[in-house]
Amino acid sequence: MDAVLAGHPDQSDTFQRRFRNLVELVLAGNYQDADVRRVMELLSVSLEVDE
Amino acid sequence: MDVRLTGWKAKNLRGGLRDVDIDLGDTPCRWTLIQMPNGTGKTTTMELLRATLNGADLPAKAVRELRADDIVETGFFEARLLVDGKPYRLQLELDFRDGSATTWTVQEKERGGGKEEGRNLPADLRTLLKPTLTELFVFNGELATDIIDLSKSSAAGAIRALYGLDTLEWLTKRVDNLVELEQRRAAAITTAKERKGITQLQNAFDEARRTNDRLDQQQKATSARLLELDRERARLQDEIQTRMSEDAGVRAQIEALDEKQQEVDANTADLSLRALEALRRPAYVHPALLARLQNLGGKLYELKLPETISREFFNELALQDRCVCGRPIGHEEQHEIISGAQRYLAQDQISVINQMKLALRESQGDPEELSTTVASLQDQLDERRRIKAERDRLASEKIAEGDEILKKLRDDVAALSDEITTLTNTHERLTTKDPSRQRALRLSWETNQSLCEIELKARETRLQTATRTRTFALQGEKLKAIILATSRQALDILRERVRVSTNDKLARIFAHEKIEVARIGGSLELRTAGLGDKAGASEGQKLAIAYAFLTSLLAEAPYRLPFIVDSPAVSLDVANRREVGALIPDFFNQMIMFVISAEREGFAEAFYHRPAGDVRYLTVTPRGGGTVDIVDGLQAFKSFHAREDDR
Repeated sequence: MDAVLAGHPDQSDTFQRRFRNLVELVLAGNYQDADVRRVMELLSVSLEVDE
Repeated sequence: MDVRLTGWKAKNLRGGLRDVDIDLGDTPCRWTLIQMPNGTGKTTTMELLRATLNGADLPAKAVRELRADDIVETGFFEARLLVDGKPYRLQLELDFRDGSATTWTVQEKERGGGKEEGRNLPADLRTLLKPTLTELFVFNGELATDIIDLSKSSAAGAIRALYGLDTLEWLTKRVDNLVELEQRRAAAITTAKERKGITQLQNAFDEARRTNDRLDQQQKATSARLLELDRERARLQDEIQTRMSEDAGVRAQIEALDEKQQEVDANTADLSLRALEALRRPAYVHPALLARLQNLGGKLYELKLPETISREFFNELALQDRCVCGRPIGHEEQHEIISGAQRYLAQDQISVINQMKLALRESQGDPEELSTTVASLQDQLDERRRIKAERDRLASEKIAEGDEILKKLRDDVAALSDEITTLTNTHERLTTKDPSRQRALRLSWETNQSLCEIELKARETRLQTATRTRTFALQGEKLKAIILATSRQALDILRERVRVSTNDKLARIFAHEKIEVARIGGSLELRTAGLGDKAGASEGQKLAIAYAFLTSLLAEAPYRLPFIVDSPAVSLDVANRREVGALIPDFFNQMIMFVISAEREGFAEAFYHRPAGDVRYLTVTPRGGGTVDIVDGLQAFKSFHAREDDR
């Protein structure tokens, strides 16, 4: 996970921390949509990206 | 942490499972060989063990297919476990009529026992025992070769299942669902979700903002110009007054007009107040209204309110020992009377209502007051117009006598008044918030500030919604990419770990030919040490490799799990069975093997020389009518002769 997150240096520490936490929750089978949404909303994205 | 299977029980199920109870004991042997001819329920037992352990819903069709015959209406299966020494009984109650299956957990405590609906195992074990993992340790031996079949991906699938990487990949579907939900919510406001649509909404918003700024500037300029023109007109009017007052004869007339004007202004103010006051008093508005008020008062007077039966009467009655009718008043009656008293008006409420009735009935006033006042007000306004006309006449006379300066002043005032009228209209068009005026003037968001603000807000909402939706979708895509990259990277690391562990086992197994796993892709890719890729392995070697892989994998699970396998050696020749029978058993802490008589030779024989306390032999014999006999012991196991359906 460290290697993957290292490939996203533009993402905040909060995102990285929450993402690790989400993965732990998912592996324990104990997560809600709200947990996923919170992590998604922490991601910084550029609207200029072409689809 | 350790899980052992201590037995299972079946009732009213197909095959030989009409009434079976396999008891492996509180401390089950390390190896149990259960000899079962085909058709006595091996496959069904394996399926039901998986179903009870993983808790997956059984479809109605699958439930009905388990029915022993048309007579039975319900069926039952129970798997008994020891989890870290604590007994758990996982039960499936099957209803063949509606195809339902209900899971129960019985956890026997020190005293009595608890039966709860659901699969109430320890939380981490419950999470671990998902269908993909359960298939790895309640295992179909015939599928072992899939693990080294290059065309399949069973090996990678098994690693994914054990480490929960499949769960991580399911997370991407949750992300998709969240994005779709957000887009559906936003669809009520805007359907734009791609960059092009957002650009269009941004342009529309910018256009409305520019229009709003333009209208704002126009309104400010118009207001400033109106103020300026009003001041100029007032100055010119003062100048006209001064000019006319220079003539002594006219001055006297103007002074008389000024005096009259003051009187009319005072009267107008006074009459306006009187008209407003009359409007506040219904009796003074109109004779018809007064008549109606008096009529209402009269009718209310006829509808008499109770004068003696007020709430107080009942409250006092409740305190008496006896009612007015002579019956005794007990505690219950007292309670009823007091609560019933709430339905009656209290004395103070009655007096307020009576006063209202009286006031209505005795409504008095001059019903002509409003109309008289309005007529007087109209007279005063007419007088004001006459004074103005008189002033104009005086000015016109002066102009007729050749006063060019006065004429120019009047012309200037007239021109200013025209301009003020035009600008006032423009100002109204720009600023009116009255919907009826907006419609009458055919105004739009491009010409009216109020409508423009509404349009600007609507466009801003659409833009914000689309931007938020688009941002959310992009965040979803990015999160999915990170999840999948994490999963891929984890799989690579885990594959290598399991490969090394598998090869350690293989080094001990294959003393002569050094076969090892070169790579775990979808399946296990083999090589012979020093010779490169191994194209073909014997069936025995394949099974040994597959089991070495499975044990390496299961050794990483947080619980040590029993290994239950159906027909572990059925596809092998005798030589390979011997090899597998000698190699595999030591991999597992608890191993339960369903075998057919054909597997005795070579495979089962390999257990005969193991310590007696470590191996248990059970032989299941069909008795007819879907029932079986179960015989314990090696002798019966060895001497069992299967019928022709035994392969």
